[in-house]
Amino acid sequence: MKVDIKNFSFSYGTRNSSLPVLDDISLTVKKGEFVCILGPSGCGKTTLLNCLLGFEKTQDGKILIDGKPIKMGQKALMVFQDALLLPWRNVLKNLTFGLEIQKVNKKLARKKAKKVLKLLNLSEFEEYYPHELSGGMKQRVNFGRALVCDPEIVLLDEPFAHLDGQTREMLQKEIHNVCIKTKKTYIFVTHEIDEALYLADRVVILHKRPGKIKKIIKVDFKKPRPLSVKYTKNFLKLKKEVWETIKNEIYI
Amino acid sequence: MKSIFKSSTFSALKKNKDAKKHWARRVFEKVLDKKENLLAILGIFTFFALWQAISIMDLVDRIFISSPLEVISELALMFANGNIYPHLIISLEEFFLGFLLAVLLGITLGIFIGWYKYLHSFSNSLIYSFYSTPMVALIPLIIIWLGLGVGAKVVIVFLASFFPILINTIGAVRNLDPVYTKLGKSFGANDFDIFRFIAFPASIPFISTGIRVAIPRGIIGMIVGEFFVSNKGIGYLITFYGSTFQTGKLLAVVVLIVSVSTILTYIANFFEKLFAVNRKVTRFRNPYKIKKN
Repeated sequence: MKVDIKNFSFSYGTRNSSLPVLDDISLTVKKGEFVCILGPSGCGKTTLLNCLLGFEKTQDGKILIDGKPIKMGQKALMVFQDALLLPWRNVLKNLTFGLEIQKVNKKLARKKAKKVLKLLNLSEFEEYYPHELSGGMKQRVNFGRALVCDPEIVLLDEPFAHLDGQTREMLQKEIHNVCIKTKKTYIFVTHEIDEALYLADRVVILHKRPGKIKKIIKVDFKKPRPLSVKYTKNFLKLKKEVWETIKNEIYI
Repeated sequence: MKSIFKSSTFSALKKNKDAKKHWARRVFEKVLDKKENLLAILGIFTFFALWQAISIMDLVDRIFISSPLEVISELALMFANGNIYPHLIISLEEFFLGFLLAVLLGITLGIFIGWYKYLHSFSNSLIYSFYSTPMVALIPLIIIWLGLGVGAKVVIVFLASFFPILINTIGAVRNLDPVYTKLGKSFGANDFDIFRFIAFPASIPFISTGIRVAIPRGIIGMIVGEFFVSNKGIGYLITFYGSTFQTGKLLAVVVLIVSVSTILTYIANFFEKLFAVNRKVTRFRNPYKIKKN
């Protein structure tokens, strides 16, 4: 699945006033590629994901998936920032949520869900309810809920933003492993430079509002990457480069 | 000789004995096991003992207050000679017809009004004015419309119990966090899917609260409806016994009403538990917000 964003602009607003959020974005994501979108807060990263998901109407420019316009809930699925698990469903049933909507046979849905649980090392927890899980586990279920529907594009909207540093590292590793195994197209939005460089094939850095592509950095560490790659010289060099690019955009 | 009864064998024996006991006795013993329960029972007992004492000592004329023993014997007599059944049946019939109608219409309308913003703005003030209208004031009008039969009382029960259910359902659907709707839509859900998988299960705790509030209101509606013009039913019995100074019988009917209302509330609780799969989570909130608290 190739994602093509062509001269895409977007603004929120009423008839009288409008707030431009994204400005003339052009980006092509190849099949199986992992792209991180990095930028200061308020630069329209989440808006871009919403547009890719089909939530917002396209205004100027085009977004094409394999040459066709977007249809919600089919090719691309979103992993939300908050886990948003349904509290009356246990882990297994939370995973089959998307499949139930897509009217997949119940037995098959369970089978698929169990497979994903195994992939995420959550098999023991399938009977647990969300309030019995840790924050990291919730996020893993959240990720799994999208994976189980087998989308060709997975959009991740700062899924680790609410987690502590250690859990975050472990989940980065886990997502990295899953990505290698599943071979889907990933678009990942984050604030964290580390996270972006560790996970991505390419890091797209956005300008502050209205968001514009400032720089695209290629990351070509060999996969699978151990977490220790973060301490190599090349990684730190890249990190510095990204920081220099982004530094002036951040204002408090 | 004590050593023969080693603690383990003894407890095993006791367990075995427990299993053989009648279930009612096991429940009884379990209830008595807790100090709180014991005190609660003691409280109720004290009340009735005082009442009985005042009655026996003739501190107040018996015609005003009767006595607990008399009330119980009257109640037993009513069931024994079967005089109560025709009245009870007709009252319950009125109640259940009206209440069922209120539950069905309250939930369906509530979901629609909660879901569609414009419908809510359109109907909101109307609903609250009707909710604040004292139903008793409307009863003569309803009797003019529908006559003295069962129909009028069904409508009165309906009007009394409909609004709590409606208002709770509207609130539940409106308070649904929109991110959950977004979640459903991102998986390609249509409105019906969102209702089925998200809005309805999330609303169940609120809806059952509405139902629980509505039960006593419906019962009041039933009795007051029968007060007005009736020759059958529990409400009629109360007016009849009142006007003929049969205090014991009157209070026996009141006890009967209280029991029916309590049993119905327990049934409602049972259904709530049946539908709400996860019993520990009774309110639908963003899980992160729960965690931070």
